[in-house]
Amino acid sequence: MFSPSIRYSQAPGLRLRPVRELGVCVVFAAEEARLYRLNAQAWLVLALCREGLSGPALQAAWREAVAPEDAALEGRPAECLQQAVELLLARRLLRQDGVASQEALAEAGGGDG
Amino acid sequence: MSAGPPKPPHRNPVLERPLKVTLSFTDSCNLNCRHCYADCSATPKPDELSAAEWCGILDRLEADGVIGLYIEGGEPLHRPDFLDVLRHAAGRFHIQLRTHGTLVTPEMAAVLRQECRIATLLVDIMGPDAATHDATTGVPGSFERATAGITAALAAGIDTQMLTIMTRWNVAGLQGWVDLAARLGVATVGILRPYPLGRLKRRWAEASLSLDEMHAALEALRLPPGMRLMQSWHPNNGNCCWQTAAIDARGNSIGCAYLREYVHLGNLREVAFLDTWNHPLHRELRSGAVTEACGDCASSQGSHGGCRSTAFAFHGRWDAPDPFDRATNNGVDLRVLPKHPV
Repeated sequence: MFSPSIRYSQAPGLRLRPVRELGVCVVFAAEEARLYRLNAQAWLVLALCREGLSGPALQAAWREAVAPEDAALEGRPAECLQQAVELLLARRLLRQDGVASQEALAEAGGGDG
Repeated sequence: MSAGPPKPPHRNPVLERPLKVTLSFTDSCNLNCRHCYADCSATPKPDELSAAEWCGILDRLEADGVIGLYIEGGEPLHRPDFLDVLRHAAGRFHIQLRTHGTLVTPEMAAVLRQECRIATLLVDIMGPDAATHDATTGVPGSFERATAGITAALAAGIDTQMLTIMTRWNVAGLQGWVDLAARLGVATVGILRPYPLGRLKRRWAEASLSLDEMHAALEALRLPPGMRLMQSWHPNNGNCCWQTAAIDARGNSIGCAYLREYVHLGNLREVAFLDTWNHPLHRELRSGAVTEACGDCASSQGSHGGCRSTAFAFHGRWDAPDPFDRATNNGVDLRVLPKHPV
């Protein structure tokens, strides 16, 4: 599902404004001059991808950040990650780029080990 | 039978810092509207913030977590240094710019879109035709120039919306105004309630309608397919205060542009913006602590208590019910503005 050959990173020109009081993050996308309101899951994915992460690295970071017993995820952490990534890609807040195969293989091996 | 446990008081969400700020950039304008809330003059007053001061405030607002700007006047584009400030904000804030449109030439529209990167242009058109609009603005030809401004903005790719303030002067032409928007290609229109401020306050008895007349006008409108109407009467009468703040042309923090004659939380030349956000009165305005509120509007808007400006104007209390809401009007005749000490 999350290929090691894909790298996820924030789209350029985003300004994130966490609104912790409401459990959401408002994002200003300067390129489109649009505001988006993200739920906690999408906000987390976007924050994790600030510097860019491969698919497996994103999955690992997500697992580490989200407690398995998180009631909001209803026991479906992988599904929630997938939904959050799809939402962010659809809104062009997240980019996915291919990475060189050697780098991807090395990272995949490291992740499996 | 027990009445059960007491219900907790309704309250709005409490934000530590605001998300949006209205900037009333100038009290100057090239028109002479008979309803002008800012009581504008043709030239800026000497105590207005300079462009450098506005830029410093923008830096502060960004650092304080503000992400959206709603910029109005007067007429912002009338002040020659406005574009310097707008360029300073470009790419850092979601920007909505309210204008009367007469200065939006094709060249200006290109600058607003490409250099200033505004998200939305909101253009005030006060009637369906030149006769109605120009009688309101006091400047012959302003209707033609304003509608040309809308055309230029749309051609430049700017999300452009049309606004009007409902008064006795234009209520008969509201359907024509909607039809005009459709002809111009405007997809979103906003009909705003009148506020007893500035010049309109002095002509209130002449201009204001009853609440029933306002609702009848709204309910009679036929919108073309795809057009969206924004209106803030029941059941859309939220309390915007909870998430926003406002700064007037002299740097006064005033909570909301519609509170400009009632509220002074501090001047940003002297005090920090967040200190004014935390001012006890601003906290009270944002709280939703009112004696009577409309549940339908709270449900639809996610905020509680209705507009604090019109509540105060008619009742002289910050926790009063909003008489512009059907559910909390309580027989108040909106055509009669009471005198309250401010």
